[in-house]
Amino acid sequence: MKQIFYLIIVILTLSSCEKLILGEDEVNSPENNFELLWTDLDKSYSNFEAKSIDWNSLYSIYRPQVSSNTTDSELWTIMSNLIEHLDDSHVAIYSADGSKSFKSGYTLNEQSIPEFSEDLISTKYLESRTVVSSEDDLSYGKVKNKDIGYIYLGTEDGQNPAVIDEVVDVLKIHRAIILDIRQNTGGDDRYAARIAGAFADSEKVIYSVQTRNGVNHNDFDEKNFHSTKKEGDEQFLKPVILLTDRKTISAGEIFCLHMKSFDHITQIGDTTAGDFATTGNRSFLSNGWNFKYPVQLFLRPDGEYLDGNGGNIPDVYIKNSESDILANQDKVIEKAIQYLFDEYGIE
Amino acid sequence: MFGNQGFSQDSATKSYNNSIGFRVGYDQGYLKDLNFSPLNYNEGGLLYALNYTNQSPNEKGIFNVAFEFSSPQLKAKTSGYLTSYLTMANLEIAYVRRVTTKEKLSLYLGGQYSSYLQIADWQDFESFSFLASHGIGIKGLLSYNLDSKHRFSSSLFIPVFQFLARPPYNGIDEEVIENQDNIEKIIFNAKPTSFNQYLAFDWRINYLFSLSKRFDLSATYLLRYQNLSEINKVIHLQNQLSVGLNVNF
Repeated sequence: MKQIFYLIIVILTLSSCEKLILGEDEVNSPENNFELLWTDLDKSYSNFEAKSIDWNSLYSIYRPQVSSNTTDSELWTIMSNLIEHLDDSHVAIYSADGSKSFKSGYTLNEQSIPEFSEDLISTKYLESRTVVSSEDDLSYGKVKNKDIGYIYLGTEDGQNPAVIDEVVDVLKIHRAIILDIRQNTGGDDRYAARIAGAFADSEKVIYSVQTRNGVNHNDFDEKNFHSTKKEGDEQFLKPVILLTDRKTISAGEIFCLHMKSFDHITQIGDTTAGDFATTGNRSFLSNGWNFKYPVQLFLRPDGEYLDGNGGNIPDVYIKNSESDILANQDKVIEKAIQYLFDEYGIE
Repeated sequence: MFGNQGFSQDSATKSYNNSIGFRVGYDQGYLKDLNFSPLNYNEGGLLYALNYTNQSPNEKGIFNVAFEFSSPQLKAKTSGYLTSYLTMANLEIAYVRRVTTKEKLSLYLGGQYSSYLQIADWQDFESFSFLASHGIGIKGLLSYNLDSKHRFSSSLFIPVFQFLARPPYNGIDEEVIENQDNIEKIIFNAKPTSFNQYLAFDWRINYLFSLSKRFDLSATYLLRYQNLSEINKVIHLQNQLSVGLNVNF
């Protein structure tokens, strides 16, 4: 009995030595937290080559700015300045409690926020508006005094993208649809593909995806090709105007990519954010800060990078200013209505 | 792993060959999973286990099926904001056969199939990692009958050939994204491995106190160690202490 008791004591003692089992923990110091951030991105970020980033040279600029005396506030600024070079709003750093964040290359996205108002659309331009309760930000209606349907899609996250078939079924009586994806926050590329399928006129390869799988900046797995696909019993093939702005991002841009491959779609508005690639897991620093970044490479069928190439450029460029919205005018939707009249005689 | 065997009575008094047991206890451990985080984590939380045991006449062979579940918290030392959750489930199906007996001591050897899954999750899968292993290994069991009321046993399981599922290099890839709503497909998309990559053992000490022919009380200590050598390595150690009740039939 005694021997068993002693054996258990020895094992419990040994197995309670965390350092012995796991090795040294990461030190919570400004220098080590900088190293963790830089190294993690170095090993896993997918768009260094797409954006022509010399990550090592950025290390030599910013690493010397960090010392053991660097305050949290200074470290935050140094890290923000470092990731700003990536000009990729999918790269973001968050404080431990989530109260503060910094997104790389987010200035234009942020500027566009007051340049759009859903309320203004509802009150001034639509006769009615129905919210699809099952989805996170999907609504539809009819443009006032026009034979034009209207859909607002604010995100690519939701439970049932096939509900778009019912929306299209309601709006198919109209001669055209304005599909508004301004401020679309992105989400799931599969959701985007399913919604776009309700408007598909053909099936074609539109982009490929590779995931970074090694320590070298150009280590990627095999290309996975993504195509448009007709979904639902019936597709809406009459003219569709797609409205975009600078904050149409990520899966919202993938949606735009699908839609622009169809012949009856015209994109009106501002260029989209240009940040397509899917982000990976959050990564952690010893001080509790966390950060995220893309781990995939998105390419057009001809091999051109999607990230780092300026987003989806509209067929007709127009944008609102904040003062337009404050003056109760949405020049973008007005341009879309005018375009449908000028090009198709729809009113 | 025979955590709660229902073979408390010795041959002279034994009336039943089957037993079902339930245990509840506490899991304490340490985890480093570089696919999840570069930090070291302490884990702690309740565990639950169910166990069925059948022993052949004269205790020549013991068949055992056990299922364990626990969902401990993971705490990083450096920041409370990084507290995460670990979900663990383990199914074992084992058979051991007595190879030698010396007075009150019996040695059993055999094999075990086990299917083990652990999922680490921070803030509703903003960050996650998993390790799933399905495979066979060798098992040894040493049983010591102190008297008709008390029995000690100790077992050791070493996985030999496993199918192992882990996240890709960066946590996600097209396959994970495509199957994110179909977790079975991810955790069973496993590659064969053995000691070259995955070293693990479960070592258990069990004490049984016979309340009556029908009921036993049990106390179990488990030490589980896993070491996965890959670019995103995993080291995981668990201490589990549990108590339970067996019903013999």
